[in-house]
Amino acid sequence: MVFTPEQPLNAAAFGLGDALPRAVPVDAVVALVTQVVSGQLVQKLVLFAIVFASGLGAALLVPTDKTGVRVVAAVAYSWNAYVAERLFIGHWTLLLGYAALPWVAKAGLKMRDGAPRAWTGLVLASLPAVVSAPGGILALGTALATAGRRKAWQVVAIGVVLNAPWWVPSLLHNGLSDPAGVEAFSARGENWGGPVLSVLGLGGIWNAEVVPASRANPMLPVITVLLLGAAVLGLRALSKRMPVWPLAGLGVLGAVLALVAVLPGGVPVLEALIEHVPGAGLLRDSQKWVAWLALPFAIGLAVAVERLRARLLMAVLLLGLLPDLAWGGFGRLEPVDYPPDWAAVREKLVDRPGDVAVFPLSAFRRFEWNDRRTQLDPAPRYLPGTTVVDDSLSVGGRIVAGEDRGRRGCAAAI
Amino acid sequence: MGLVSFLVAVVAGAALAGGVGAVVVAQNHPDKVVEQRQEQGQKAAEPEVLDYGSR
Repeated sequence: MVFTPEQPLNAAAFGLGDALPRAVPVDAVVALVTQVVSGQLVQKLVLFAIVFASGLGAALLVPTDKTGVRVVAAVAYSWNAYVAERLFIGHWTLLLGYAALPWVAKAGLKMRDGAPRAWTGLVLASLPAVVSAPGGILALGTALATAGRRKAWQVVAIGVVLNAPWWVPSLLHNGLSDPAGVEAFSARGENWGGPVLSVLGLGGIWNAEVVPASRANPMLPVITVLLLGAAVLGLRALSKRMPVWPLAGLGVLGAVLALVAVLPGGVPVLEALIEHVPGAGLLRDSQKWVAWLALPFAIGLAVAVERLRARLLMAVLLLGLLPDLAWGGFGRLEPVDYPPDWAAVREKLVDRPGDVAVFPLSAFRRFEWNDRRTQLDPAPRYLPGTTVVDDSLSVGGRIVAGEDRGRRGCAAAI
Repeated sequence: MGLVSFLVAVVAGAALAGGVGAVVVAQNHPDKVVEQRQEQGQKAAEPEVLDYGSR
């Protein structure tokens, strides 16, 4: 997770560079905000908002007068494998979208009820999500599922406009990705339950290095099935109070999308899509779409324990199932200061013409000052102007080519 | 009785979280790997392209 004191406001931040606009418009938003406050503060606010807003949103979404039920919903939604794994890999923009989903669902339900000017609530709730393409799509899906068919066209119109900052610049590129990424970034089994039960337990991210050790708990597949069963029973009870089945259907869709690459015949289909259909690269690392399952799971589970006297035990169980998320993953997440050299190089480059190239060309670095952890190269977000980067990715030594091939060849020639 | 059992459950949960967490830290803390490498006097060969992650 890379934040810098003051991120440069360049064409790439708006998706107008040579590379596929992946971090758009979030780079522009962060660049603008860090002109006023330090990136360090922005990062802390974002991380606090992710945990706080996701829990509070899920709690408020449950129609109940029992605080304990709301606590269970909050814990189930904000303390799970999805949050842990995406936090550890550094996908904070995706988690910002995840945190917005309960609020989007509330706004969608208000639209369904025909509340006056409910669309303004939907716009406001969607704003944190639309800073990234996956977040924007997650929010749009949630809004469609909650607002109902009669309001679908309004929701789609709002979604298309709010997501324009990333899909409009995408039109400048061919939008095709390397099909090798399908297998490299497919869902992964974290225990004997395999990828299916790992994903249904909201985990299953492709990268084994960011998976909390507790996900190897041999009891987890059984507990996952029991918790999902309880959540379905809870949704049945909840369906008498609010329209939850479209949200549950969306959750099933999310799980299916997350698992496509590990289902029989899934890989060739996805490879063909990604190779020939612009934008289908969004289906790469498809485990991210299981975020849609988290919300119906959390509110369903909360309502399932509504009649129990010791309902808070469920919250304790959920916390106990993932103890290694606590205290920033017990040392996995900690703030690191840039050495003074970085500021010195930045000073030297200010007002110099041309782009910056950092060798060896690699999107990832390991520095002594960050305990040699693999991290995203901070140079494009630290140094002024535009920094040439190689956007190819290596997964276990296997290279997944980036989309900016012309630029990579140019940089290699230098 | 309900309150007592709730408190017991909270304490037990916290103890479980702390215990498992401590084990996790001891085994998997990123610094630990670096320390071990330094103790063994090993210097890792730097690949040209670093892994984003591994499966």
